[in-house]
Amino acid sequence: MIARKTWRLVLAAGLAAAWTQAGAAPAIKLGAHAPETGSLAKHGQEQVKGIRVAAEEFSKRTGIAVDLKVYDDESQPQKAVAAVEKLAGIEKVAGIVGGYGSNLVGPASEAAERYDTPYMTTGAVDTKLSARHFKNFFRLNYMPGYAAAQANTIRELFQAKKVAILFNSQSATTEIAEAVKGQLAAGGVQVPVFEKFEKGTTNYKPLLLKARDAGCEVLLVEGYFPDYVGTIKDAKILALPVKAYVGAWGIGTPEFIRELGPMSEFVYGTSIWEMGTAPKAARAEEARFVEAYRARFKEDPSYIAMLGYLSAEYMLDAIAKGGGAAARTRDLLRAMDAVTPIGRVAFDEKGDPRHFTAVLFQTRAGKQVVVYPRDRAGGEAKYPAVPWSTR
Amino acid sequence: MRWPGSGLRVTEGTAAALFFGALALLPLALSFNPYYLSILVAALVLGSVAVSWNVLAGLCGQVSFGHAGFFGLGAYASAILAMRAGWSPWLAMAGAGVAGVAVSLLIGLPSFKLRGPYFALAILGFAEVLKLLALNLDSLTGGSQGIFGVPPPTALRLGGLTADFEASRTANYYLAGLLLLLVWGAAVLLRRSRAGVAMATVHADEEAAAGIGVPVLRTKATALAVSAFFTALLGAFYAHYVHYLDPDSAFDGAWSIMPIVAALFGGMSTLVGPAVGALVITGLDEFLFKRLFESGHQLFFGLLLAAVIVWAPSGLLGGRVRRPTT
Amino acid sequence: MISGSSIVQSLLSGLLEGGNYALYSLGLAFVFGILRIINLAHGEVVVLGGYVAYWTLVRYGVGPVLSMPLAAAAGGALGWLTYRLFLRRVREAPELNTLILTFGVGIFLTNLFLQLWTGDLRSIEVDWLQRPLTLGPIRASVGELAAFGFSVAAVLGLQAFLHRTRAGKAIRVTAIDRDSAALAGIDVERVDRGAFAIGGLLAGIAGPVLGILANVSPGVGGPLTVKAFILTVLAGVGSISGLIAAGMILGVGEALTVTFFSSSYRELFGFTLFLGILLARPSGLFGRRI
Repeated sequence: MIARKTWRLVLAAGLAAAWTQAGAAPAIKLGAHAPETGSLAKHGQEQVKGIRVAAEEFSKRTGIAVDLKVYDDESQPQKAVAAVEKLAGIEKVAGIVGGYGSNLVGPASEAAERYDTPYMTTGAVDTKLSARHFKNFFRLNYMPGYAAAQANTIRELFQAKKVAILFNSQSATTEIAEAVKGQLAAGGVQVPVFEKFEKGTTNYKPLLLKARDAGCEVLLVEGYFPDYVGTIKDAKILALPVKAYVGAWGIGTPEFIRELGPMSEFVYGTSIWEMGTAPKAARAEEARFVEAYRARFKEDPSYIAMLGYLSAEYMLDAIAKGGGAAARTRDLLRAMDAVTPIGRVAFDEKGDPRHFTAVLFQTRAGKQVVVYPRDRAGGEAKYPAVPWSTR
Repeated sequence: MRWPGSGLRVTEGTAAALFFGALALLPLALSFNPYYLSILVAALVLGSVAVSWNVLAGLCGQVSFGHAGFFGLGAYASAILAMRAGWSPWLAMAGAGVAGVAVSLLIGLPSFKLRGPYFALAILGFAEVLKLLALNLDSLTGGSQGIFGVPPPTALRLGGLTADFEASRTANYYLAGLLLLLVWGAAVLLRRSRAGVAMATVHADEEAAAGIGVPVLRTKATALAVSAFFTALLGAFYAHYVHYLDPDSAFDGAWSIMPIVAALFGGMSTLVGPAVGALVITGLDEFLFKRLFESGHQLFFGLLLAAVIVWAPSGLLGGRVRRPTT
Repeated sequence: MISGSSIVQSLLSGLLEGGNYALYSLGLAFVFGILRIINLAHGEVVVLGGYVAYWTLVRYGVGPVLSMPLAAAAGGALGWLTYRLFLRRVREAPELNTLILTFGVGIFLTNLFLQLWTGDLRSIEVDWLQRPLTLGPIRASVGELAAFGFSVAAVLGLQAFLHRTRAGKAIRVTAIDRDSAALAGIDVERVDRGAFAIGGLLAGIAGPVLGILANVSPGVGGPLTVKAFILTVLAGVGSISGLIAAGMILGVGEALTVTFFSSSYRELFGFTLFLGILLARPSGLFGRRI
């Protein structure tokens, strides 16, 4: 009788021990959706690479396993909804990261709100997204941060009088073009050339000639990588007499420098991060990420990969600290305030980054030299830049 | 093509009854799993557009490469009617169908004299023009910024049951299923009507049809109008389902090409075939290929398309389902 | 406002771009004209040619002029293989079947590129091709002029092949009347296969030019196919030499639309021209039988 009782006690103790052991480090389920195929495949794949590195690094650092569920939304809005239905509804993940483009993030974040699952994106800058006041919506970058860096640099640093703005007709680039135009006009800078072009344009010369004829000192191209390649190649052929070429985002990336070679020199761009632009306090973290990413993928990370990494890291930290309940994760994210490779990160009530400013940098000898904001600057701007013929 | 063991042949009516019966019961079998249902909603939307496209192509012999134009038009028309003019989303969806008819006639009348691929390309050209209008008429469409917050259809109450289209995938699934049934039913009625007989005649031989007094232009216009009405209606459903519109996703070329793929895959000779094709290709891609190969699943999809066209050229239902003789 | 030299420069850029359009469209126009097959994988074959030239440059330092034959061979082999594996089995089926078949091949290729070489954009950078040439205030790069010359040469070469060689004549005869050609002892099956392979080859040679003047990435194939289609119809199906003129009309029209109005209307101009020609003159600007 007693023996049996003891036996039972031992069994119960063993079970309890096993239980607490499991309870000490339960795996965190993290969901990610991104366009790994379709028109946005390039961005989606980089984003997922960054998220994978974050999950692995987090496990190494904390000993907590991460069960990462990745879903390809195929760059289709309907599949973005399905992504959240699967991740939040079926997998019951504790948080979702990823998403690229307003037309995918819009529907997906709405579904995440319905499931009351924290959702952090890094690939949608449209101001209307946060105007919905979702309590589960967070993002690391948004449009005003980019627009301010460009307009302020043009006004304060370049002190230009006439600026040409060429912009891709897509949503984010149109919005930033209009915002910068407004800020420049308010500061007394003329924008005589303000031209929208379609995705897939191959002949940019007629547009550039308009900038030349209007006597613009600065050429601002709010576009994507193919647009920069096209405008820079055509500007070089025309020997376009502008003192500065400034691109919106996706410029100055490792890929950009690799593909354009010497033509990438002296070009300006805004970004939330490029290699070497981290504030001093976060240099060590930047180096850790770059090293882990290189080891894993044998290539240099882009800003999209960095954003994917950071978003997953913040989400995982909040989940681990708060125990995984949505309300706790949200509160912890809202309470966060840290200096990271992309600057100071804290979120406001709408989920927008409170302190986000893009850095404006110039490519010199294949490296990014930050010239704005001044407190993160790594050097002086070469303005006017050297003529195209010598690049 | 005779399938292994295809001694079994069914009539089209039986096939359709089996198909719609299965659709009605499917959510039960999937225990109302919202993820499966959201994939199926996408498949049903594609299926309905494919059946609509096939009204023009399968019944009347006129192939269009530009149904994305009608789809996007319907999506925008319904969103604008609901948000700017304050119409109920249900009424706005019907209004979008009417807009589809009006525009289809404007597009169709000059295009009908063109044959084969030329007609198809003309519709493609008009679809691109519609997309450019959506992009550039900022004050009406919001331009590239798109339209946020398109309202879901207002909830329906039937006795104690409430169909909430904002949150419930089940409600949206059954609505999409009913739309498919509506499109298919209309196509069946059309085929049996005088106009349907005229369409079959035009399909078989346009000159001969004109020779025996069939009003060729009116027949083609009817087929295009019906096809455009339902395609625009489905575009409207899409807008109220994803709650977000922009020119790139609403006028996406996929809305032109995928219905053709689905129709050929399922079989153009039957009215239900395109819908079956849409469900099969969406299901295979999502539930099989994606499991095998997370980011490369479309490789399989491309090969599958080529294989089916080569080894089952009349589609999955093509060899098995008899059309009733009319 | 708009200076005279800018108008001339804009005009020139349109003309040169028109030459590229013609080159990018040549393979599709040829296959459509001869075989009546709408090859929706055309753009992806162009992209393949671009990747071949890019990787031979990056890995082995071989310039695009020397790798051109390799790009052509890759395109031709892919065309031959596509025909051998799939198309010959659906020759008798309706046009739509070949359309969806080639669409499937295109999806396969796009995703294959994506898996093999990521979505990164590739640009072929060779110093001497970027060197600018000037004539007074008017400028163009060596690469642009060379591409234009190459485009014209490709069109003339194809014309000469079709009219001067036995194989070319066999292809033309088969295109005009298949049955008579078969009766006359022509192996029409072989002619079809050869013609489709030539279509692939013509797409392949356009790839390096695309990589030099614009860029290569998995997703650019689809828009290229649409553009090629539009140009084929503008020129008139069967009119190979008309492609150059149609390309230049489109290129110049687009450029001047931007110069005199706004770039917002550039695409609208292209599609309005396309619809106008299609509805008013379905046989195209220069349409005639081959």
